[in-house]
Amino acid sequence: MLFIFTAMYPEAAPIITRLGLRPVNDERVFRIFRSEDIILTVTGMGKVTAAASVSHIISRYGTGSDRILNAGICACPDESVKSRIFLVNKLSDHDTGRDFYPDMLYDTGLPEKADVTFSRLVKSEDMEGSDSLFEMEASAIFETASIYTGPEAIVFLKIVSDAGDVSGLTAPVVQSLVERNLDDICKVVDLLLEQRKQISEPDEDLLKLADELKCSEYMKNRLFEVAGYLKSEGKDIRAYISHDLPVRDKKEGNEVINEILSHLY
Amino acid sequence: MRFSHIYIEERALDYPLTGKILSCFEGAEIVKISHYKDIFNRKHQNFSAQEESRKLILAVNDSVRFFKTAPVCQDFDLDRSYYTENAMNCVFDCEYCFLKGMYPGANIVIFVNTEDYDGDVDELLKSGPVHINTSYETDLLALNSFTGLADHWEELALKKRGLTVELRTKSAPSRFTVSPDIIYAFSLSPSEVIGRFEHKTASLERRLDSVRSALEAGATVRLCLDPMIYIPDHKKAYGDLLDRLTDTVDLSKVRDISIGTFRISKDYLKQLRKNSPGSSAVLFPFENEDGYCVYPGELREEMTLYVKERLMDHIDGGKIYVF
Repeated sequence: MLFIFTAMYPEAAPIITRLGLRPVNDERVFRIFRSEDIILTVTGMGKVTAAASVSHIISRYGTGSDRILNAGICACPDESVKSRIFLVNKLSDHDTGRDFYPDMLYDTGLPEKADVTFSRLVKSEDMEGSDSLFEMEASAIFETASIYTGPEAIVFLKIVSDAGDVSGLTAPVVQSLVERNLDDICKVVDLLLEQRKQISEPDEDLLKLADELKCSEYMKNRLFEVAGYLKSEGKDIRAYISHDLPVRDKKEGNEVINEILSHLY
Repeated sequence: MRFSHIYIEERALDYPLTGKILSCFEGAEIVKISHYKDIFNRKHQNFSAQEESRKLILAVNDSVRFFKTAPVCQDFDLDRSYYTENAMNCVFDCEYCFLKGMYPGANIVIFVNTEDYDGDVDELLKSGPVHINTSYETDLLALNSFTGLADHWEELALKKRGLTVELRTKSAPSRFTVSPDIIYAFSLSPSEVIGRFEHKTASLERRLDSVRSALEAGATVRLCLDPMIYIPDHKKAYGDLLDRLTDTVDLSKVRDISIGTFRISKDYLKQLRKNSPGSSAVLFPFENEDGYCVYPGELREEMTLYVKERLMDHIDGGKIYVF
């Protein structure tokens, strides 16, 4: 599953429309929109609600092969980059002083910047001497998501909306900023959907074989280890079994496993 | 070699080695960091994904820089054998490499405070001669083109009496410093093993060419058939390797040869299997001997004896070390 998190609905609206996401009506706490393999959540502003929503959504809908994208607006003291989108390569939590690093494994072609997360709206003076991005959720999203997944699975895209003065930031303005950068956001969405980890399904035939050999937990581990090795050599474990199955008891099962082992080298 | 990102500790910025490395990768995105562990030691890293796009981390090592070699490592009967972490991780991708079981991620750390390492060597030398393995947790010769760290250790060994430096590699260097105190240790594997498991490393041909060049130059050469990796036709594969080795290299000029079958701690193997999924080199059903996973004794003996006996036709048995 790809989980997209935005703080406000105007940030989410263009993404929802472009990706054809539908509202999920049985969610009582957060506004959620989804398709078969994407869930977008409007977290609300600030670190606490962002952390709560990430934890809730991954716990409820996570599959173990999930990717996480946080997209939204931010401030930057550099006026020349206003309305541009950036891929974040470093996250700093202003309150704790902790730094976080998402893996930069995807070739998005987007410019990169560091990002600082505040617990309140950032003022111009907070940004003096910096060329970073400033916003209110990212470090919490990374820290929370990292409980569930690795740094290669978490991506942050930030669009510069202002240089510390939010007075003109109405909902249509925010929506328009996201719309202008929607192609880049969707390109990253496609990359993340392609990169979802393949989860190997448990081999049903192997589980059946373990039953037929009356395996204890220890024997099962040994059997799976041998089968894994043979598979990596392009061989089928059943080709090494001459004994009639199922066996009578664990002892006989163990003899079969030892027989397979004796043929390995 | 290319790195899309270089992470640099703030305190490492002004070191000469940092400047040298950065000049080799001018297009790289630079990210300043507080401490290398903030990125290198992150939880839940995906080693295989990172291997596809390794990042470089430049840092200052203010912790312990030299370690006594562990019992499963090779000390070649030397009383004072140490290894050093001048760099962590490697540009190669060997499926069975213990680094994949030991380190939390695939990014490469280079410690740029070389003068602190030099000072430590001086301290160690006060108590007598020392043998230092510089490439136990990396391959400094493979990193040398942009770090110059192999050159640095060679210069140090020439300058400091009592210091012997070993540079172990799966690359094929072409330039050698001639000294009994600088040991070029070439890891050799059959072509089949290199092709299946030692990705991005030099081919056997190139490694053997490099061995010959080193010996012709008069450099000190150690050959390492270690770790030997079991493959179904291992006798033929190692037999072919030995044929090519003995046909083309004058083994009487080699300082010594080490032989040893694959062995790894139980904990590292667990992680290694996650990081080299589907690799028969690590999925073999090993036996656990005192916390170390090893091939069954009979197989171990068969593999090492076969190689040792073949080598003894060409080199004094006293120069062969079995681990």
